[in-house]
Amino acid sequence: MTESKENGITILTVNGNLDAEGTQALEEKVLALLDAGETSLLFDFTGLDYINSSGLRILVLAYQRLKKASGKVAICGVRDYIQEVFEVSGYDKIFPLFRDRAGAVGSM
Amino acid sequence: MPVFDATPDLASLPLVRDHVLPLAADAGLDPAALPRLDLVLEEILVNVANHAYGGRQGTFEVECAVRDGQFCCLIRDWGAPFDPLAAPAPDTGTTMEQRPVGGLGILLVTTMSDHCRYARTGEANELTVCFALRHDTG
Repeated sequence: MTESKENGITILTVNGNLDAEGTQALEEKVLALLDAGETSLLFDFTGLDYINSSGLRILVLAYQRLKKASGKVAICGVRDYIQEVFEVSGYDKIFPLFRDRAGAVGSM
Repeated sequence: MPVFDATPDLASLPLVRDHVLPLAADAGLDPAALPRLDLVLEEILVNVANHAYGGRQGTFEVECAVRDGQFCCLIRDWGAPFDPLAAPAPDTGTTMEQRPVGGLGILLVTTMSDHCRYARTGEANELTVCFALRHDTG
């Protein structure tokens, strides 16, 4: 997982498998960013192969916290399998999904 | 196929994955379906680890089989009777603010697998999830 910043948006790039271990690391990172007052979060999932319901819960957590702070959260680069997980859970209708990072940064 | 058994905790997850996924691949499951199987196994095992024994020591088993053109995994525990398929599905149409956290795991299990079935057999909870070996559903 790497963190970068573009146009005031904090971008978390998550690669590989977001399994139990990876999920915990991501949750700690997201909570730390939110506590530090970040209001624009972009999850770049271009290199993400796997997510489970624990990973989805972190996205919900970020969404709920940022909504209260009039912040924004978006996701870019989801692959077919992750897209399927989003559709099943209904998250495709809630999170702004962008094809790539440039599109997301330009629209947020 | 050999039966996998272990104590239900997060440390068992990679072991289960290493046991089941090669069996599924050998049985001819479409590689594109493997992440779905992986997800389903993880969601079920996390449920068993968190809920089946209420803090007591326990074990679980995973038994794989091919039947009726499907690759099936039976996950068995000896905890309190619990039919996850009987739980109400979360309302995925509600707004995120109102959405309760939870229930999503079992929704993913039922949606990502092609067939699932629960049975209480003697003292055991048996949850079977199956994946079609041929993808001719269009």
